[in-house]
Amino acid sequence: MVTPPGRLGRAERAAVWVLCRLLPVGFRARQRSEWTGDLIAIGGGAAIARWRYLFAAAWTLPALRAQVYRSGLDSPRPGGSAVRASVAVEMITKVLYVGLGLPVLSWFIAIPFRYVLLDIPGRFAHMQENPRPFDPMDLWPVDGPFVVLIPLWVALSLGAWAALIGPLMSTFVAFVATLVNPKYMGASRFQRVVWAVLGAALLMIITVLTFLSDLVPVLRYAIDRGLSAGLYGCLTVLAAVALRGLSRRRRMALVLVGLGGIAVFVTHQTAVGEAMLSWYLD
Amino acid sequence: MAGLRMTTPRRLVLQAFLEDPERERYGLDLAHEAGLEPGTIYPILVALEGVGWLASREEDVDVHAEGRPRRRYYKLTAAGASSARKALEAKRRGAASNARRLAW
Repeated sequence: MVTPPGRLGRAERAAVWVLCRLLPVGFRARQRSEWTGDLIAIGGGAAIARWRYLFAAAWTLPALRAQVYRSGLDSPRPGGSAVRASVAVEMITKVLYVGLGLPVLSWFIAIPFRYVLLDIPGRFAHMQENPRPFDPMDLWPVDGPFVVLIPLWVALSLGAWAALIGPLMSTFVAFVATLVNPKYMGASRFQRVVWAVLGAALLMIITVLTFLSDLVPVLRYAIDRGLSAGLYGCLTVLAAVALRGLSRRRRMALVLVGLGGIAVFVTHQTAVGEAMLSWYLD
Repeated sequence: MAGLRMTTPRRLVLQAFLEDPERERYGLDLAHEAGLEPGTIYPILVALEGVGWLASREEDVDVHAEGRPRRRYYKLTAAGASSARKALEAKRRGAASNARRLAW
């Protein structure tokens, strides 16, 4: 059956509807017009060409979604001229997402998640009733086929330490900034690799120095139990409210990351948080 | 202006725009000009609009009289035209340099 010109068949309309449902709400109407207009222009007699068009649109839908979010076109402003985030805002946002988000996520997996999931208090109680050799830290399999998990464990541990140790947290944020900054300043790949290596070396030095706090007493204060993460969390929430040109989704993501940073600090001020920290530091 | 990775489809779209930078085009029209599969053009247009290389507007027509939805027309911005020329030139230089290296 040939669809009359100027109209889409029922199945084509349904396909456009499904594709549009998979796009951000604020962008659906715009893209529906684009696709519908194109399909009408292709013509009712060219059913194969229309379905080929729809298949191509479906194939590139993930890319379209990603670009819509990245461009901030998912929440168009009245009048159609979206206020775009400046380069500085883009940079600050990325630094906060990664610089605070990664340590907070690592902290959550490495400390509270394991503490609750593996019932560490229960194991301690059991150990006191039935004394026998037991290392409560030995809960991450690293032998045999699990050897591939070692890099993940190292990354999670470093991230968790960054959330707990003030200087490490700040260095990590600065490290992320050096990785994000050159991209916008047009630095070459080689320069970015050099900065990344130097930043990683600095992170390792600070971590080692912190563990040598018996030799350098002032470093005992470096383990600030999430104070720095909390402060960065407050800054991130403020940034989410104050920065211009961010989409609602990105703003919400920043708020979540910020609240995560604050949660690190608040958790370690409670009795349970204190117990978690003692277990982790031991 | 944030950087933009220059893929082959993006390059083809920019070349099509630069052939007549003042002309406005709609998606399907542009896909044909650039030699791309119709339906794959919109992620590219949104990416270029997102970095400010393109501006778009909806045409002002009576949809009932036309029998189709309003088209969205895209046009290179002044900054976009300049950035696109530079990006394409850089891509050409990179390709030429690779070709020379391969010759050795």
